[in-house]
Amino acid sequence: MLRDPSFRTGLRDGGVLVPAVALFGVAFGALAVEAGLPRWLTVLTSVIVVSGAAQFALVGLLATGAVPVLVATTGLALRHVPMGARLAGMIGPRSTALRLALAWVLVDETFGLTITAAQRGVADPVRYKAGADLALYSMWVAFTAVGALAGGRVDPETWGATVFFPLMFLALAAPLVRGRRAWMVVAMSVAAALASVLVLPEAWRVTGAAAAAAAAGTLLPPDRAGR
Amino acid sequence: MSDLALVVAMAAITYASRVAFLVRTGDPPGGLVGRFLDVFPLALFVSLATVGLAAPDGDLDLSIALVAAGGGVVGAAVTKRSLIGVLSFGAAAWWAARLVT
Repeated sequence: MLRDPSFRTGLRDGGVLVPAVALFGVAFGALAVEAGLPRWLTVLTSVIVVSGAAQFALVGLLATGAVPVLVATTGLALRHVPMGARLAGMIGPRSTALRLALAWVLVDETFGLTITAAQRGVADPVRYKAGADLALYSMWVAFTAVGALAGGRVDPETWGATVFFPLMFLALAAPLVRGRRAWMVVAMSVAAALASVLVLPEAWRVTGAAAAAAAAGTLLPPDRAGR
Repeated sequence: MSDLALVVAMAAITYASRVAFLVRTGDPPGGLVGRFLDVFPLALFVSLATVGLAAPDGDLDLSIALVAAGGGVVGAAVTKRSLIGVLSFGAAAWWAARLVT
């Protein structure tokens, strides 16, 4: 596996995103400990939840009780449903065990990398995703531990943690913008996202905006190139 | 509910959402569902970027984060939409704006 070209390409592409993931991992670790989570549980959260947005929601809502945290988690998690469906269509006849393993790190970042790599014609999207997953998952857990150990002594916001993450998504979106329909989806997504900030609770904004824009994009006629 | 039980419940919800359709075998869906899945990734990433840049603290805030977005767009144009190009130009624009303001 380690010598497989697709795996190595995924590992390399995932490595490009490591600085942003590291900053966010440190921020989560530090904030979670400050919010009262024990260090071991902070790291365990990154190991088993593997969702930055949901984990930050946990930190923000911990004092309010379990129900708001779980409602927010559900809102954030719903976007994984179409992500899983899209990925399922790409990976071909693979075993259920492999699919169960791939789902563990089905995160926005490696999903975006895999979609883009598949468009570029990478030989094996599954091995590519495994490489990218390994790079990002290991760093997410490791830098969560760094933040949990450092606690309030670090302030990742001053290094740009709040900016680098959205920039990363801008970078993941850029290769997908091909043709008139894609540009219209971009415009609708920006409009839906801005509207969601005004009308939706924080945890439901991205899922709501993406679903609304994708639904509207579905109704657009394809370009002449078939996109 | 203990903190540990809460984290396990979060993990269960998140994993269930991830695995629900990923374990589905067979042909990719066609028709409207297929077209929805085609455009969903782009809509998702643009929404993530827009919400993160326009409302970094939850409320709409026209901050220097938008300068980073501008830098990222320039980076995309200059480097043929390369991942590292968008990140580098966006980060450089953000740092420059921070120095100026």
